[in-house]
Amino acid sequence: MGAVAAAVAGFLAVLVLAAGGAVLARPWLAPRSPAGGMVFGSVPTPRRVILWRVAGLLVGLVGGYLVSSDSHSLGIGPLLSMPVIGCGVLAGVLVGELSAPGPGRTPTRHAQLEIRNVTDYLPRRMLILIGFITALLALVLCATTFVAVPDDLGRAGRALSIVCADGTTSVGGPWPGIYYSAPTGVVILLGFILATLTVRRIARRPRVSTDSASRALEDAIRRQTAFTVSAAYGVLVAGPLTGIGLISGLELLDNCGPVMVHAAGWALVAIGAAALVALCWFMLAILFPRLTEPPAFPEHSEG
Amino acid sequence: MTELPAIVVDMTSPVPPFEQIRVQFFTLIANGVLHRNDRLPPVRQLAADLGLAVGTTARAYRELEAAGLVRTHRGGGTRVLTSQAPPQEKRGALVHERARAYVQQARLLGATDSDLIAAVNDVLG
Repeated sequence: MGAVAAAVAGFLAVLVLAAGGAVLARPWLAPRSPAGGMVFGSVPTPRRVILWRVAGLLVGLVGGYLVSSDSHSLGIGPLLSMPVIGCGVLAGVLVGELSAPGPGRTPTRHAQLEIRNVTDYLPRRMLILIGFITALLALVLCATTFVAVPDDLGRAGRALSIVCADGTTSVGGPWPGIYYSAPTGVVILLGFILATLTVRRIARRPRVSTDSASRALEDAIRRQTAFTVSAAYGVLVAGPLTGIGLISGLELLDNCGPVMVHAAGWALVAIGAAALVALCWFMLAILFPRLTEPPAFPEHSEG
Repeated sequence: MTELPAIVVDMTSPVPPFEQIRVQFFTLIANGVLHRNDRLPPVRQLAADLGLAVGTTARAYRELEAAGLVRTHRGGGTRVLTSQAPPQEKRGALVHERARAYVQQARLLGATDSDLIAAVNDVLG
């Protein structure tokens, strides 16, 4: 979708790589348990879980590279590369959570009388922001799809036709019509399903500890994982909204249309810019969670 | 703060796991530890925490429902139907009785008074 799209995609890819690296490096920097897992307090994160996360990021990166390097995609590749990377990360976290060992086959087994809801672990403020961005993305995609027309080679939903003030018709593109919105929607739906399954698994996977101090730490780890998953999904929706908002906005500003069209262009540019700010915030949330959310770990874990 | 007791399943016991779960919930409801409208843990969560099949915990819940102690609503979970808290003095007598049994069993193992108190403190955390 042109030089702007390539620049935005490149910038976002660098951000994703930085965030992904930080997510993976964080547990490795934590002290090790004798069994080889990473220790948070007295509850280790199994090495198997971390390896699945690494594998998810690698699969996402390879998938994102393959998608973005398709020279025949007419810009779909750069647009989808980040959601594909996000899906890879989410899939890795999900499989890691599914592979987390249970309470063990001991002769005597314990279960607390508690109800672990997904909402107990999700970050509320971030969830509101993600919901707003998802709704905005759906709205923008519906609007751009509705007004799109086929391009000069007859490919549906790749151009925008505007009647100029002098009565002539201007057809410009690329425009995020059905040609771009359909694959974007499918990948985001896939990401949403993955994120939902992951946070459900985070809440429902069995407890491994019975004493109250370890349970509190275990809950803190669940909250932190849910926080990272939420931020990853935020990246997944904010990325396409940034690209689509900026590209469609600049397309509207760069034509002979009436004032209303230019106003819509400025609005879309503003949405794209705001989505970029949100995208950076999600990255910050992944890199430095304590800056954006209260600490997930209890400050005083000593009994 | 006193936290709710855990459900414990002894896999070496001849009593089937579903029956052990049923009896513990029955006791918790009968003694008023679980009150009317309190929600029980989801069947799948309880099964995962105990490392049991979902059918095992589901059977325990079905038996409790058949006894009229709980009711399961689609999407609303399983909730306690009745509240049967015994009088305070009766509860005290029951605790005393259990304590006497504990002391008796521990004495047979040769435990001293300090051993008994240390074990209780350890369990209470």
